[in-house]
Amino acid sequence: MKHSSLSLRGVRVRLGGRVVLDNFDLDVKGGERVVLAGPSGSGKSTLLRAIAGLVPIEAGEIRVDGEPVHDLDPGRRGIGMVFQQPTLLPHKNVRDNLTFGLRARRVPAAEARRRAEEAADWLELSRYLDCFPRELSGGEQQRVALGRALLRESGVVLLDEPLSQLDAPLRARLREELLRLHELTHTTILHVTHDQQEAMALGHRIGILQEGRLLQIDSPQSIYQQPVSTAVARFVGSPGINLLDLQREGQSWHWLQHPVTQMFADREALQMGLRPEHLHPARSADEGWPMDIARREILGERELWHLRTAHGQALVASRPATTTEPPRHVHIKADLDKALFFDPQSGQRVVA
Amino acid sequence: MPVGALPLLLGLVLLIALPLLGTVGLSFFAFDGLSAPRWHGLEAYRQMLADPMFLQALRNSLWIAALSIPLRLLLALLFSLLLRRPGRASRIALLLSLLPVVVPALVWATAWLWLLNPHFGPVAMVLDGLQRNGSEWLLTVSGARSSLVLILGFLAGEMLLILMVARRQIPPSWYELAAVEGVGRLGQFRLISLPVMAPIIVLLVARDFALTFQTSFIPAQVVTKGGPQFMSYMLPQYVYENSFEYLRFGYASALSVAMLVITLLVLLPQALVTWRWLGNAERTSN
Repeated sequence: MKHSSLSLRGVRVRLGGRVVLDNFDLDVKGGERVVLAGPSGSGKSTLLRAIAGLVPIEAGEIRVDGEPVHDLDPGRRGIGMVFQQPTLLPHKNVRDNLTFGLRARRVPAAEARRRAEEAADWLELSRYLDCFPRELSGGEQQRVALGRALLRESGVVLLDEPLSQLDAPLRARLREELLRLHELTHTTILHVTHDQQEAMALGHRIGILQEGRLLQIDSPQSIYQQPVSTAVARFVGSPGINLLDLQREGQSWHWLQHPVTQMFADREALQMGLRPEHLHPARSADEGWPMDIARREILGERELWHLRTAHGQALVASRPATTTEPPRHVHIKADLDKALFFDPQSGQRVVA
Repeated sequence: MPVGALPLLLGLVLLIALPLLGTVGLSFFAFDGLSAPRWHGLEAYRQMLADPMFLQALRNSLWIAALSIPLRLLLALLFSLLLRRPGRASRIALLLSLLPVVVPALVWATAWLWLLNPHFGPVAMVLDGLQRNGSEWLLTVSGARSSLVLILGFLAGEMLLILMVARRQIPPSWYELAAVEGVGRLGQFRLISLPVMAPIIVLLVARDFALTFQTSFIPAQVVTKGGPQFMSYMLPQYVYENSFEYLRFGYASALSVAMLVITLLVLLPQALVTWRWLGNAERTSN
């Protein structure tokens, strides 16, 4: 199946007088799955709509396989799209919904039918071909929409939060389905979501979008382990990263009287980021920070300790679940070799 | 039956069912409103079928309905698509198109009388400018008939209001999907707007036809008086003249019953189609 590269250079989009995206660059290789994650209002839907041609761009260029497409009609860009709500036409059955785009492109009826049946086969929707959308569940409807975007064999498929309207178990199933379909088709996918877990699970690379700017785009591991800024660090990982303000004591940085690092001695201020899974109970009092377990949250396989220091600062630790009740007062130590350091002013990560 | 439905039921019986039965009953009598009614049997109906005036008025009425209802629908549909985005322009246009519907029919017809005035009306002037004889326009068969079609066709405001609401109910994402899938404007209308709005369109057309004998009465009476040579003479005018000018109430009743039967004959197939549609929608929504 076809897979095209997609590249954006200096794209600016204005919506209702407000510049939503400015000087936006992005490169997606043929056959790659890139997921852009960001909170609502970060411009991710606008970005997809601009690529699809549903909103005009004010400046910059959009290329598919090196060819500029930003002046073409949406239907001529070689781009398929799946919307947030399952967008199926209620008066057409699944088969006609699948072939909607093919028929509009004057693909012969027999050929369109063959491709619809093939797509229904991958999507395990064959027995629903003659059903109407109302007879399908939300997940099934979204699978039909996905099939429609894929069977057109467009070079790039845009997914605009296609799973956000589904409940959790179905979302997990559809994630698997997406990966399986991608293995079958190898089409290029640009997916946007507000769900960092979904981004982690589905992207070869994930990009973190905030207020129309791409903060970082990298492999899921790199985003998680080497975030460029506190904004990225906070967005990925659940529960979120603990950010602690350090104090300087002579040549080293301390947190609550314990030395943390001797690096960055030339800096004015320093912030340390510790992931919840890097906090552990210490065996002896002088090894760790004294804290209270304010609340214990059992997640099944793991449990969260909502900790509070004597100064009232809150932290979260993620621990393997145990049946024994932990003591109320604990000493907590951290895997300091995994700690991340940030400049508190700019929020940027600093490395030695 | 719930007690709350009683006033409605009472209204239906007193205002519709009883007069209807009375009309049907009266159509079997000869009655001039002065002397006692005399039993006439089916005589009025026999007379009607041989009455060239009745057949002419029926032809005219159906002809005008067949032209003015599609014109009204076309105008309403066109504007409902043009005005699909809410805003000041669409509110003003809606207001303008609703005006002729909310002003009394007599005022609307009188306004057209001025527009079509053979001596100083703007229509006549434009026609004169086009090297046609504008002052004779209303005196020609095609002129009189097309004037009535226009007068009735422009009463599109109510239909427009309903179609506008129907159009705005369609999620914008369906059109965006169509655009991404390469479906052009015309295709979007054919594949999305029209099929989604079809049941409402059918209902509106059915309703307009049901009312057509009533709505055509005042414009025809005021503007053309049925002329020239009865070529724009409407069935309700014939009913009116028979009852209140010739005092032939029995014959007028028979004509009214004929109007009802013709209306039902046209509406029945439409109703069947609509019911089947609604039934299908009900089944697929479960």
